[in-house]
Amino acid sequence: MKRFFCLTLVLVMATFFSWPVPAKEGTIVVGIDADALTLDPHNFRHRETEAILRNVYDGFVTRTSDMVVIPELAESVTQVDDLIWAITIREGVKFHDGTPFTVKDAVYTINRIVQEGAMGGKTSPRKGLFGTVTGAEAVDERTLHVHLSAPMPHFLAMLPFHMVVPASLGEGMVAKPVGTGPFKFVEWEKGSHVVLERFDDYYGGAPDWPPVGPAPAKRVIFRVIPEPASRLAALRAGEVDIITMVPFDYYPVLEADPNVRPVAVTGTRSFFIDLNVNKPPFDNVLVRRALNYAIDRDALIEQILDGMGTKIPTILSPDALGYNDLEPYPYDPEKAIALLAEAGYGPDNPLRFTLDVRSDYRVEALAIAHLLRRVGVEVNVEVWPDYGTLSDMYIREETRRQAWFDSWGNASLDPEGIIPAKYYTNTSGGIEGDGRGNFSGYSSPEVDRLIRLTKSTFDPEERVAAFKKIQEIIYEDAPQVFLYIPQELYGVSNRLENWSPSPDSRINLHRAVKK
Amino acid sequence: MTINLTQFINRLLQTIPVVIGVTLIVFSLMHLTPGDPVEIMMGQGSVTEGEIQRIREELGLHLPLPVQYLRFVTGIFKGDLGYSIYYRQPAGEVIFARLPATFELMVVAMIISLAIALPLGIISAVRQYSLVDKIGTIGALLGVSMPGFWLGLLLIMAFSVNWIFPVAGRIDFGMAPQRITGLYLLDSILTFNWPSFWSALRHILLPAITLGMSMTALTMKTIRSSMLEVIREDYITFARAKGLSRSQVVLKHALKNALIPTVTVITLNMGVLLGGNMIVETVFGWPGLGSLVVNAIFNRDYPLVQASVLIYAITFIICNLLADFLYTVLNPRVKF
Repeated sequence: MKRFFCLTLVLVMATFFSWPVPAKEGTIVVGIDADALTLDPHNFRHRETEAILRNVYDGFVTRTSDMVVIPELAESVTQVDDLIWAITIREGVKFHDGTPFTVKDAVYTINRIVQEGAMGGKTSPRKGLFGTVTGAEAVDERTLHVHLSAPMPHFLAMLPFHMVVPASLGEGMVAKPVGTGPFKFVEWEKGSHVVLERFDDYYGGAPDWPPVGPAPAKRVIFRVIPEPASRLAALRAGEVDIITMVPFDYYPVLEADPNVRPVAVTGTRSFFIDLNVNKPPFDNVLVRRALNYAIDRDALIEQILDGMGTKIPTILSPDALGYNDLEPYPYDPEKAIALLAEAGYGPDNPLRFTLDVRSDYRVEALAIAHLLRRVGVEVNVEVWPDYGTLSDMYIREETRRQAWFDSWGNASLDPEGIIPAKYYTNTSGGIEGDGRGNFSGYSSPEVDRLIRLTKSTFDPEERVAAFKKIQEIIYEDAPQVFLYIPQELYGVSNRLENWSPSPDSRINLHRAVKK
Repeated sequence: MTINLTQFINRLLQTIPVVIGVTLIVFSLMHLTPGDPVEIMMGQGSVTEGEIQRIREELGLHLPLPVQYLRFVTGIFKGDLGYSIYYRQPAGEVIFARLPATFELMVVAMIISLAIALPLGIISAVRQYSLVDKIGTIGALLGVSMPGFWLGLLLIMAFSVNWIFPVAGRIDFGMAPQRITGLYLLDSILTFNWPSFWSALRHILLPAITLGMSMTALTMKTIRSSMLEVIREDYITFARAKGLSRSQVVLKHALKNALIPTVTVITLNMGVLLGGNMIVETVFGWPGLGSLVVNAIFNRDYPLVQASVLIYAITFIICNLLADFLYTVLNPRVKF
């Protein structure tokens, strides 16, 4: 009897371990840290959802990995006058259900995003990404006019955010996505994975971004693996081909493994310390500048980001439109000490303040505190649970504390996505519209005027000049300690070719090839 | 065994204030925590004037708190658990899509932990201070002390990177069995779909072992100590004196009585398993309720957190009732 049991056990174990793993050729698996929230391309504001759905839906225009905007479903996008843009659509494009893409679908898409209650009684949370657009109408078989309520010079920078849906959706929400993208939707197991399959009738994608044609990969699976260490293990075990959101300290592990490689891309998230300019000690510009001189940005990037970051002179990314090539504040502890002395601080009366930080960035804040101690500044780092807690306190004058180490993401890389938010005088005391991220309480009539100018002018050069001027002013006023933009790290299997990450964190798999 | 119906109903009624208390506490705590769910949902990108206010009104977040609470509670009685802010769909739908995965993991964790703890506990007691007992005791100490996230990662490093077990997920792609109960193991048995069964089993073992570890340790210690107590009783000596074999005495006479406290510990621990799954599900990318709740808290998704906690609370209460009930079944001297 005993022998029988042992034998059965051995047989069972043998079957168990030798069961074939399903063939994976032509299947690209991406390990992502969070699941999609929805399959409706107009019903979210969420990085992972966008990364997945952008493979199912094409837009009027798209961005290359170098963040250049190029036509996709649109053949051309032109400005008719201050309040009208014209889009001419491409011919011969089909949706996944076989119906042709027409101007009707294009008009429907824009109206679905910008009109109130157009999505089964709800309004799209992506309306704000369309700025002042009020609606669209067809002009002829291939052309539509997009109407604005006020001039919107960054129209083209915001257009890649929007994915095109078929008009047959009517009033409903998307349950099973039907797009024009390189991959068709197959299944979504919530919390686990999303499966897509190649769309053989694909029109080929943006002609300016070769190779054009159907995707080489047969199937794409996005797998949700929230824990970074587990994602890394899955990549090394060959279960997935790309992993996102890789912590920097995994870089050496990825480098040492012969089957995988680390790939980094400059992000779009700027890091800085917001200083409360309305209360001592940071109401004194000398103190704010002193802190900017006291930070060794190179050391921070080297020690904390393993060298994977770019220092910035103000808040704008060097990749952004209208970037002003100022010299980032140099590390000059002596100058910092001198400026502090001028403001009345010294060894007998050291500058003391509390630096708030959310728990994600605790290490960075502690390093900064350490650097500031070298110039005699005593920093007390206070850790908070998350962003929401701090933004609630810092947006209002009454509850705003002294200093907050944080970041601001600007995926469009147009200054419109960051400068008005951080520097326009916030009169509403709320988190909407311009000034919604003005956590330093900064207010400058000249900056406000220039921001208004960037929104009304139609001369692109005048707009860029205004943004450059704003950067000069904030460089001098230093309402923040300007720090760096980290790169984003991905782990990629060596079996995967022709794929590179994008600064806007999209994962475009149209051209990727798996060996 | 007699179960007094009135008393049973009484017990059930007693749970109502508990549930109301739980909903009230969760509701207040979530709303006391700073951070605006709509702001978190919209991110830092372009947000036009009035947009946040509009969404807030759409979700009823502009109403006074007592009104919001009342809406939540009256909704429960209508079977409406609220509307998830982050997922923009009914919270009940979001939760029930995840529930089978969590339940399956819990059950397998329990089976594994019992399969290890029962024999080990009995042997440790019968052969006190033997090698098995010593190893068992040290193992139990480790099991209780090792945090789930660490044990999980160790197991992944030891068994997954070398292809034996998958790192994460619930089943290989395309292998999901036809849905009957939503529990993959059970569904694949019911449909005789053996490839699915193996795939699901390979996926569930590591997370289930991790999740069940502390319960294994606790159960083993409980069995050991109650067994030790029982085998010193006179009736055991008497049974031996009657000439019954050692195994008969241990398994038939002693175990039955030693199981009474153990059953209570196990049933009460089912609730703990439910709590522990938040960490284990995150480490193993298990698409269950635990990982959902963790995210919902960070996103201040009030309705989703409230609804999930309600489900947790009800499960806990059921486990407690079950523990009381089983106790009377096993020990007829106690009345329900």
